[in-house]
Amino acid sequence: MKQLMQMAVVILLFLTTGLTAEARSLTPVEGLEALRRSFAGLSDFTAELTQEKQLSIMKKKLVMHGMIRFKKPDRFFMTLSPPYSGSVLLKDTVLEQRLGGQGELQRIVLPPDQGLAHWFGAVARPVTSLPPGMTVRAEQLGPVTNVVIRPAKGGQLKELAIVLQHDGTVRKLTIEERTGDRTVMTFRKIRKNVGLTDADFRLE
Amino acid sequence: MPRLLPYLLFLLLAACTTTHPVLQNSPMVPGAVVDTISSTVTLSLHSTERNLSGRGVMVYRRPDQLRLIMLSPFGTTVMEAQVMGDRLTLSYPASGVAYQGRIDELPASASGQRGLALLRWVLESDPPAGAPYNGEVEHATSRGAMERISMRDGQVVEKDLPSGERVRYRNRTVLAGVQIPLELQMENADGARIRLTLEDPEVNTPLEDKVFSIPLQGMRVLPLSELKAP
Repeated sequence: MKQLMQMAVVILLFLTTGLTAEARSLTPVEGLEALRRSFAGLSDFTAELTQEKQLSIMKKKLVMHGMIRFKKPDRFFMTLSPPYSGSVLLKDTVLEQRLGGQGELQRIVLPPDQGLAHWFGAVARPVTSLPPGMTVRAEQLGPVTNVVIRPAKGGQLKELAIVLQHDGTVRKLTIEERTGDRTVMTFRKIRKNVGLTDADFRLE
Repeated sequence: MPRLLPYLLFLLLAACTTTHPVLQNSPMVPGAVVDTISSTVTLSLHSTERNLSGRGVMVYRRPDQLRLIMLSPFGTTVMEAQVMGDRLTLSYPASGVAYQGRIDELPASASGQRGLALLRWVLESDPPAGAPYNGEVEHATSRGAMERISMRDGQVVEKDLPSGERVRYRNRTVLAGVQIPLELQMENADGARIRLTLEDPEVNTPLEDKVFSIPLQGMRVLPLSELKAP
């Protein structure tokens, strides 16, 4: 579950980043710090999502379409459309999930140190150094900025690759696991600070 | 129009009978059985300790090979299970730990995982030779236990083991010439319930050996008896 929270925070950071496509390389710390600063100016956002999962176990890709919402300080919602329908709602430490249109509601209460507010409190602190073992590469190619993060060895994730557009919004996020399995998330219609309310964070 | 009424009444009454409809996606082939399944799945577990559900991918090959991958909402692997004969491997990539051993080495507290270990038995849903069209029949499983099979309209609708495990089959369809249930409801002797739904199955397509292998490089592999249900 801790891994799930980390993933949610990483995705939210990349979606809301205000990185500009300057014609220079960013140092690793500059890259992470720019992500943090951009998040500071955000209150909420929505985006459409396409998630493609390539598993070594299957020949065909698992392609899912859906939508995500986020609202500070601790609300996250994701819904996927048929045929792989399902919804996830996170209210700080309470995670609710429903698989399928009529599936049973599953509720998990996380420890306080794994709540969404706790994680965003942690990433709000200025970045002065990379976490031990982490490497970050960032390069700009015309209007597109590529950021590649490799967490410390030994974990499940091998690499996170982010493609940013010139306006600072993310176009693509690729998660590669050490097993070789790969998930590609493509985001469209990203809207920031649209005034989402608690009514936008409900599982029907 | 009056001639149509009896026909319409017949159709309406037919829809009210208690037969178990089978969705025909392809014609049935007499004698054909399920050799392989490859499918995305949803799986929900209800036990005294926890209620969990998730989406994943499963491959199965007769008689005794199974691999199941459960995914997080963001597509990363939460858990893998592999059954090879009487051996079970459970892998938790986020914590870097895997457990391996014989299925009967699972600790008693791991009721959910015991349910997963039943999947191989559960996926054997073809009627045994000589089974009645309707009624019950006893049959020796591939592991030697005597299972009681309930048949209805020529289909296996339920199986029970003397040790208390039970499975019910629902929503049958015909793929690649064989009948296959799209929903499997399992219950083990501890009362834990697992519902497995096949979302987009492919039946009897060739599967390479490597798809049944769990990658364990870099993982700490512990005996199955040390499993602490996460």
